[in-house]
Amino acid sequence: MGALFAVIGLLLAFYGLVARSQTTLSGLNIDLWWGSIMFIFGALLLALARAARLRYTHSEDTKK
Amino acid sequence: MATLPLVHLQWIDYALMGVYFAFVLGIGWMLRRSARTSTDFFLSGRSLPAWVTGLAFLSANLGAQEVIGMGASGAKYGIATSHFYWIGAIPAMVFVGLFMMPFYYGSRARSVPEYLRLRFDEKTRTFNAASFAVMTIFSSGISMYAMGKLFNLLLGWSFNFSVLISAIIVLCYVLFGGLRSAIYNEVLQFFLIVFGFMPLVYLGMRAVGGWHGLQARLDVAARAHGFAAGAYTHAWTTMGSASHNPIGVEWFGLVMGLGFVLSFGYWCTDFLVVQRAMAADSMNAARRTPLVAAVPKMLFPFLVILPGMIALVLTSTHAGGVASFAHGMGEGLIPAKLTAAGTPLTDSNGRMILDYDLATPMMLIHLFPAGMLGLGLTALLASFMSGMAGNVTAFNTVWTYDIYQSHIRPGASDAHYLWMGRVATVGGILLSIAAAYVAASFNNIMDLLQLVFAFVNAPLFATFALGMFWKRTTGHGAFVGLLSGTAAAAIHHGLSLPAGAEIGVKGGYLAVIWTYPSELAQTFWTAIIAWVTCCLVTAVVSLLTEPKPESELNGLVYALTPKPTDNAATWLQRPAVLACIILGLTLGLNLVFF
Repeated sequence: MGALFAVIGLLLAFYGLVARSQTTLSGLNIDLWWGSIMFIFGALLLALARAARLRYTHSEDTKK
Repeated sequence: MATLPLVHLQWIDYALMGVYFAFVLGIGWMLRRSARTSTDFFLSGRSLPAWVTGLAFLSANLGAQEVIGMGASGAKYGIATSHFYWIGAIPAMVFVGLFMMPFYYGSRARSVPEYLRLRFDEKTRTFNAASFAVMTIFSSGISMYAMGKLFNLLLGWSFNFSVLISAIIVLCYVLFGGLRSAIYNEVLQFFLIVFGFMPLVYLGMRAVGGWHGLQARLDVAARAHGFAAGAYTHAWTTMGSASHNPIGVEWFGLVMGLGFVLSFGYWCTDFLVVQRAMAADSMNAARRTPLVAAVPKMLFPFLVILPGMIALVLTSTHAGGVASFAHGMGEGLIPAKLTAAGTPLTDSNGRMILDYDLATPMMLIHLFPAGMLGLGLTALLASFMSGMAGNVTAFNTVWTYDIYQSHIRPGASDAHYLWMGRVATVGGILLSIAAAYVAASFNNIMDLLQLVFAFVNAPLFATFALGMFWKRTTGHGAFVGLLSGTAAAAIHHGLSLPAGAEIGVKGGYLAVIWTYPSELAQTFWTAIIAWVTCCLVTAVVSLLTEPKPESELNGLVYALTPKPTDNAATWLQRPAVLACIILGLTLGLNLVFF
């Protein structure tokens, strides 16, 4: 799920950069801002998932 | 009526939707190996943590009809719409988590109708299973229909294309992964809605000048609609009498009808949501599931109701690829409903009727540039599809366990029932498609479904409440009570009519004895009467018939079940503590928007 948001975030941010004139409303480039935020969220989820997986395999190792 | 698409999408919008579809199918594919037993397929192996089941619990309920419907109600009723959440959901969610989950989870019933068989008898179970199965199919079909209609209007997609594509995608991921797939997608839907709608609220509030700006504009609108100035921005002050508030109901009908009967009837007995809690990995997680769901539920009014309220008072200042109202009739961003001839529809008072359902979509189109619009539409798509998937997973479980296993082919192997579950998924989708086309031909079908829900859910809650908390309730009592409650609902509906409505689906088909100020008032009172009738009849018949021996009722009735002890690790994990916090916050919200 983290991957989904990371990808969406990237796409949005990219579009925000490329089509600046269309996506900027009253001084705020929505696509760029929100895309970046979503990307960070996605990256966070991916990091949490990896940490959980590492913790799981670590606890599996220590059980042996 | 012209079917010009209201907006043209850019490549980015299509790309975002494509990414979503790819993920959804990919996840279904990856989960296909995890569905090995029927418990895996129907109950996700009872293995999910509370935060997952909690978000799924919330999202299963949050179909796109709710997102769009709440926007519509926000435009129609103002902040009073939050009653549907703060009165009409939170208390019931707290109740089901604290008091009813021990029975659902503890009895190891695999579905809500199965609990009824354990507690009562086969005929009560079958009545519930049959009515529920029909309701899920129609709900799923109506999701498809609503989606097809909306995307046809907004984007010009062909209705058939939308229905087919969504059916195929949902079919694929449910067929592969069963409930686990559906739950995963529901969690995804939750986050997409949050990310898709937060910017909408932000931009909308900026455009109207914050809460005070919104209040000022809504005061003007309220007066224009014949109410006192604060009617749209206060939830309780106008509840003294039905004619003072936009909902058209007084506080008693609201609290008892919506807050008690309808909301408890839905949250406590609807297998679609309860199934998500049954998939939890422990009793504590199952009890916390509705409580975890209640936290975002409290805050959702700001996400879905505010856009509707803003739509009423925001005027379109830029044309940018958006068609203006046909015939220029509408209010704020909301166009008027049109007759087949293309003229504005008016009610019996001569006021034009607004097409409130378009409030939120119009907000999306007006405020979001390309890219964000794709995100918003993807969030809507996700809601429609998870609404379908949720109904299909509930249907295939009820069909396989409560109808097929009980009546058609009992005693077969687990693998056989797993196979049947997959067949039922395909069958369910096909029937939903049929229902979608039925809905397209009879445009009153949605009203009809709402009606059936109220007729069936209200007495059902009485049956459950009595069954769980009064050990003297008997199977005959429950069955006769259910039937009479449903009949009482139909009779009350037939004898009453909301002001300004035509006789027919809206009521009054027997005679018009009572007139209610609004449809919602009529619905709430129908629910109250159905519930009371079911309670009385169930009690009377139960006292006249033989109950099950107490040994068979262990774990199924409050008095005969060991109380679950709240000895979870941290205080935040104790259901009772969570419940108090949630109720306190909800009370606070009610006071702020009093």
